[in-house]
Amino acid sequence: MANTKVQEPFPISCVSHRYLLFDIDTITHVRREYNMCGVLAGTLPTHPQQNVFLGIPCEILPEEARLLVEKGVAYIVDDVVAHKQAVSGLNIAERVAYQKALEKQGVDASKAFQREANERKVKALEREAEKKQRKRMEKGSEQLDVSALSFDAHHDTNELFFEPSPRPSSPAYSTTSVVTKERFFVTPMTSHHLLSPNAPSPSLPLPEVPPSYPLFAHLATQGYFVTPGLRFGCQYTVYPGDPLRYHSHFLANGFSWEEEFDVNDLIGGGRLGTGVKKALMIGGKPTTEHNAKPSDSERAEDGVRAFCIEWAGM
Amino acid sequence: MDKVILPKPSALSSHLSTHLSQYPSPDHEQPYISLALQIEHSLRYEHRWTRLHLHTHSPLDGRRLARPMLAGTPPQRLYVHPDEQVEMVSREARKGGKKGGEVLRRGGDGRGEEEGDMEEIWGKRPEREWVLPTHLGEKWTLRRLAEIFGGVGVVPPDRDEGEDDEGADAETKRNMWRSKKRVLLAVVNDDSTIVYYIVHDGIMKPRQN
Repeated sequence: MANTKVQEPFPISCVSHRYLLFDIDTITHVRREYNMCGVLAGTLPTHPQQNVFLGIPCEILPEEARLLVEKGVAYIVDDVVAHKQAVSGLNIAERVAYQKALEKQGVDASKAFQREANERKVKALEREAEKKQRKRMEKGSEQLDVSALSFDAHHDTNELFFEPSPRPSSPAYSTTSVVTKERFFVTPMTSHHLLSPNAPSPSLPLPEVPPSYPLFAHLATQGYFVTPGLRFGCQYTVYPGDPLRYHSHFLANGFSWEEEFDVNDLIGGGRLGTGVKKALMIGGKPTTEHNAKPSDSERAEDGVRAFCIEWAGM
Repeated sequence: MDKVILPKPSALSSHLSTHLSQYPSPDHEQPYISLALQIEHSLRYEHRWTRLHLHTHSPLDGRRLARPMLAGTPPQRLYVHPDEQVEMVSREARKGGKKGGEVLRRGGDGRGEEEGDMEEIWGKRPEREWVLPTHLGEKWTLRRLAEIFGGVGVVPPDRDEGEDDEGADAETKRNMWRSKKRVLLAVVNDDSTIVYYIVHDGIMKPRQN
């Protein structure tokens, strides 16, 4: 788990304009390396109402998908198209290989099942033997003078039941090898193995993003964790580290450079933010004509300007 | 016919009428000037600010500011950087241990002195602030906000040479934590309620109070 290697670029599945990650390693990787948490969105097919503990897939924001693609560490896959192509576009050799693989999977599963059953059997026998031995021990303690004898017996049972390791091969194993041909019939649950591991050659267009994208990218590249901000009525809630470890610092709203906003919105956000020990942040990217002004002290490489608003307490 | 006796103008009205003429400016800027004067009145008499000045031109390059702005000194420090706050608390904890023993030894004598120290520790030495007067009904854009910051420096200048002692002192050993520009956004509503918010230029983590 700790050192899973994810090969970049990794695929981001696009299903009806939502961006999903289906691989747990990728989800871990993205969280660790690119500070993106996403939202686990998967339920059990049989219990779609059970939404307290959700699992894979992990849905990420279009902004996040775009930033990953722009960094060149991921690519977008139209999941429906890719799946159809992969399943219907197999040639005979590939089909046979796939069926072979399925068969092998079935045999492996069957073997594993048998092995487990045998282990269970051995354990049960051991327990039985232990019980018998304990009974004998009790009898031994009643007749103290024959204690030495009972210890001997104990030693014998020990050898008989608890030290199977020096034996060359257990009879249990030989029986499994006889029934190797037995196999389970596996119903594949994903088409994952069929999908090509490479990006689609005419790459899909970049995900569409709201005008707040420059601020998002600015924060994300500075190492902040940027999550959706519905909870605080803003666009993004910005954490200085992993949300499991830190409280968020900012309620962020991104605007385009000339977009108008009410002073009232600043006050509302600022007041709410201060009440929960956060600051309201607004920001955006200057249009090119304002870009080359040397007098601005606060200038990042990407040119994005951000302003933080807090209640003054007076 | 009797002469109509009008009530005396309010303090704010007379403040406006006496000071408005001091700032000759183009017509479109007149409302902003009176807005600034209203804020100035509030800061001076309700919040006990001192050394308040109205700036129509940038102290950096002498160009006209996007909006008339005020510079003034609050009675106490308006803003303490969160990192400075942490340092103050830890310094206080270190000092507090020592001081406590001393005070006990000397009885009640050390009390006044200690309070003075605390004042210093908590950085109550006020810092000059820029104030941006606005009205609640206004619309703002990021560009305009950036222009405001383009016209001001980190610490506003102090025109009062009289109180040179403290002013020069504050300027020379400027608070090391004050590295980013900030302005105090003053918002007036029609009912003359005024609220104050601090706007930082750049990413500034929130205070933990």
